[in-house]
Amino acid sequence: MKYYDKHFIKQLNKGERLVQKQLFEELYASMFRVCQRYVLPHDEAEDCVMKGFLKVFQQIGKFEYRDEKSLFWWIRKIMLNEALMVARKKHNFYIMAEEKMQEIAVDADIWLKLDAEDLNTMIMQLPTGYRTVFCLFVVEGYEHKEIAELLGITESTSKSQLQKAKIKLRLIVEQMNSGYGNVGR
Amino acid sequence: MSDDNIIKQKVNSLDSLPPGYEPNLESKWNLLEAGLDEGKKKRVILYWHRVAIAAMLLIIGGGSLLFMNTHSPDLAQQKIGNKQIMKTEIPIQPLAKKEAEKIFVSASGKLTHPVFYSNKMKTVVQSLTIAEQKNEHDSVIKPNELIKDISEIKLVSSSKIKRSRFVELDFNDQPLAPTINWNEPVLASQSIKFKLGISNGTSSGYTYDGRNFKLSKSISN
Repeated sequence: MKYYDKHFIKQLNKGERLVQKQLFEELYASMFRVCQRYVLPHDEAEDCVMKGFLKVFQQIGKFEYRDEKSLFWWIRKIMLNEALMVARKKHNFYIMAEEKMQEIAVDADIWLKLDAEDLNTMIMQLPTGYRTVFCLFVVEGYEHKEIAELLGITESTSKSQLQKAKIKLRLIVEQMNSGYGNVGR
Repeated sequence: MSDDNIIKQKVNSLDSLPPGYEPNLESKWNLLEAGLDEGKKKRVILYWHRVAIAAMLLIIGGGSLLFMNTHSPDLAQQKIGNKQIMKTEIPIQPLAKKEAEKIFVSASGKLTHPVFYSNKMKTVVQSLTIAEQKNEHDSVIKPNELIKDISEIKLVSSSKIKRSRFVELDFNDQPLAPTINWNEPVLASQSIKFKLGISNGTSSGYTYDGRNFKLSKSISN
């Protein structure tokens, strides 16, 4: 997370190109990560980031400063909305894949052992519906009610998708574990 | 710490680009900058576009107002068929600008009734010719009753009154006694409010016998 003070935001408000460029360069990577969680292909995630930054600079006047973290979270929300807009266009979340899966147990500390990049790669392997609900709930911290509104699904669908996403993720971890011998290289 | 929290922290800690993905940030910034400049231009164009539309609407509105003022037919010359006509002279007094819309109606030279024209009605009426009509469709408008189906009263003026404009008349009079001569009961009170309008086709009118007002409606014949 990056921190930005009032002075920086004042300069952004004035539309100073150097400051805008600094923000763009500092946040591009983390915002790309945000978008890519919902829009997998690199070029489409890039588009989301670019559109998101365009919105950020055009609507910076609407931003309300609370603390030094607030700009980061505001930009992140814009990026998430952009990505979800693309995801909704590409995927009908109303028709979710119903897969029968058996619960499997994994080591209690498996998540601690996993490398962040590996974990991210595994999450990317989840089917779109599972991944979207999982990321919105676990990574972004949305409630099921909010997820249901965002994706146009019911709360119960959101809950069941999350449940299945977690089982599927454990399966993927298990497969990786058995394939590579050990996780958390 | 729960599994969810561990995953959240790990995933959110990723603030570098994914391995193997190395975009040219300089060219991407140039693209974004071009987009920002384009947006600025568009906003300026949009601003002037709106100004132009507003100016055009003003010109059209002003033009049509001018046209209506200069081309309204003199309603005094309109025929009201074979109906009995009662002429009411309205002496115009020189009024202050604020009271320009307030005129006094003197009916049959007996009583003076202040008439308040609505803001929309800018034309000063100098005299009224009231169509008096009595037929089976006549109805009595009670004081303060909102006129629904009777929305028109034939009002003829020697000066120009804009067509289809409705004016609100407020006979802020003393209590009027119930009628004696009229067959139908007529109610009157201190204040009678109704709307006057002018248009072709159906016509309505009111009668005044020196003490009482009776609103009537008729189907055009």
